[in-house]
Amino acid sequence: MTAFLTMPPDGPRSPSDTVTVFGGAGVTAVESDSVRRAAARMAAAADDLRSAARLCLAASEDVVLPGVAGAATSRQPDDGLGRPVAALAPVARALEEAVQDLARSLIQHADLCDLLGWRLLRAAGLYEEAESTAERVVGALVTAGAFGTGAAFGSQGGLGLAGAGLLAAGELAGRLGGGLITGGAPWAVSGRLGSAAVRDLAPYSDEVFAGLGSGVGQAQPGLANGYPGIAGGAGVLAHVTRELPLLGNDDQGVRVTRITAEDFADGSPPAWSDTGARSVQEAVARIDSLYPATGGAPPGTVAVQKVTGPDGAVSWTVLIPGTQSALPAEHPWDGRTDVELVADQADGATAAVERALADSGVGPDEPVTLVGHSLGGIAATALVSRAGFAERYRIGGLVTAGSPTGLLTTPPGIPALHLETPEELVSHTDGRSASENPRTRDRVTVVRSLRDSADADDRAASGDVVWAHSVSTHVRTLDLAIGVGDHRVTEVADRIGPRLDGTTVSTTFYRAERVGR
Amino acid sequence: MTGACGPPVPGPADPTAAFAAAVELLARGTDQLLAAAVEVDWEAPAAELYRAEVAEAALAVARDISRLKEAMSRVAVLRAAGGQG
Repeated sequence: MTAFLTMPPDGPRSPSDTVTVFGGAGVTAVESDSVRRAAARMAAAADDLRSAARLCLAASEDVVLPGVAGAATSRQPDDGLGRPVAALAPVARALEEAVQDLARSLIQHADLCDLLGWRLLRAAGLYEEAESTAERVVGALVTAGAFGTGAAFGSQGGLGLAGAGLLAAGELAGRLGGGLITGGAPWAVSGRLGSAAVRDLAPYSDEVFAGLGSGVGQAQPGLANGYPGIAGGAGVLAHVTRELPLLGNDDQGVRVTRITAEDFADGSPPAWSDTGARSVQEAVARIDSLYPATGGAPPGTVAVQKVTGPDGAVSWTVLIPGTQSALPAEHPWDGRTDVELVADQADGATAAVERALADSGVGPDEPVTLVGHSLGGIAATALVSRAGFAERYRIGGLVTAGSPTGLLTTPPGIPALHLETPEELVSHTDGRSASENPRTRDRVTVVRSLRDSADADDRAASGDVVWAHSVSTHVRTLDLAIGVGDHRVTEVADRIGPRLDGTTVSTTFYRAERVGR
Repeated sequence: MTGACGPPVPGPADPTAAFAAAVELLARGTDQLLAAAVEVDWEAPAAELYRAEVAEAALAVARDISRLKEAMSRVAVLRAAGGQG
């Protein structure tokens, strides 16, 4: 039993039905066989219910007897009880309506059967929505068109690349910054895109970025450092942001310093500083406190939290926010770092996190969980994937929200959870959709299609890049995925979650700045 | 539904037979649902949720069967009253 006609629900879906999960620990052969059999039974039940509904609808027309339908009849035969038959017409009509109502109920229950079968297959990882032929064709055309645009920018030499660099860094960082473009300009293309356009383009954004990146890299192979595809294009743009006048800067690394309560806008650190996160969602939500606009933290702030359990075991959580400046800034949470990370080049953000960890005194056997939003998620994944880092630290887990991580490979055994949504565009800037992220037993990607949701807020967010990319949107995605009981998500969250909380908790905040600017 | 005047005459089709066939289909569908609930040999949270929701769906269909049977009774009474009983 392999073929299934079970389809996702038509039209707007309940928010939990817009979640799709890739990767993670799959079900066993026995389990998957039983799931498939059950789904087949659900489909058969739905067929029976629809057939019954058709019979009821057809029969309902015969309920009203000929001759009793019209109230004004010239002949009104007696019904045997002393009433004229015409008097039965209202009764017959009511019965007809009741049967039609019953038929509608049966059709709704048939739809529910299909939905439950689809949900079961999806939760077991046995259903995946395939791209239609039309979508594949459009995707290929979009890639080809974007490739040409990227190559045109690249072939213009320094000026063309400067334009591409400005556009890419501004766009990328503008999106990654979640609206906090503290050093950026208001001309971000995303701001000009109408909400409908964002919604419609979202499914093809991975093709756009893949095509653009490949085109730029192809036009300037020397600057791409031999990297193919989007990593090569990002390498070219990273070179532009570093080297060209006005755009670049000649900094000499990063300086990382501890900050105190007085450094925060309201004179106090986040309220959670001395409590551990009780869930992965809570850990992700805390990142909002590290943005200057939403948390009052200084630009370029990361948090390192030490958690001691009742048994004395120590674990650490590192919270890393995303881009805070579209243009190269005095801190490494800027557009330059974005393209450097995608290009797999040395960058200031990972350097800053490494220094913060070194300063914190993390022991070799003390698990470290890295949680990042946007640029912070790329930095976290880049660290985990780097040779040496996983040897120096015991990685307890990796959580990213709205980060393009598909080009990075994480070591086996490390639970990793990625949260994405196509409408944020950001997570597609590596040219990979969520379904193209690496799928392993340890690595799970949760993606939510906001535009398919029946929820008004989700619909609004689907046309708003900043909203779609916000920390809160990703927290809700994880809430929904856990709420539907997807075992791949709960399994990886259960591996990460216990390390986030303890009986004694302290947090150190670090500010990173570029040196030499 | 013809709307014609005159004494009641037997309709072109007997809805009772159609309703009886529908009841049979619904009974079979309910059996399929119950089997689908117990069939899943999977202990994941999603499977628990699924079992609960399928059980609810089976109950709902069972209520539909009751409604259908009640409709059959009402049809029989009506048709009897209309001179066909």
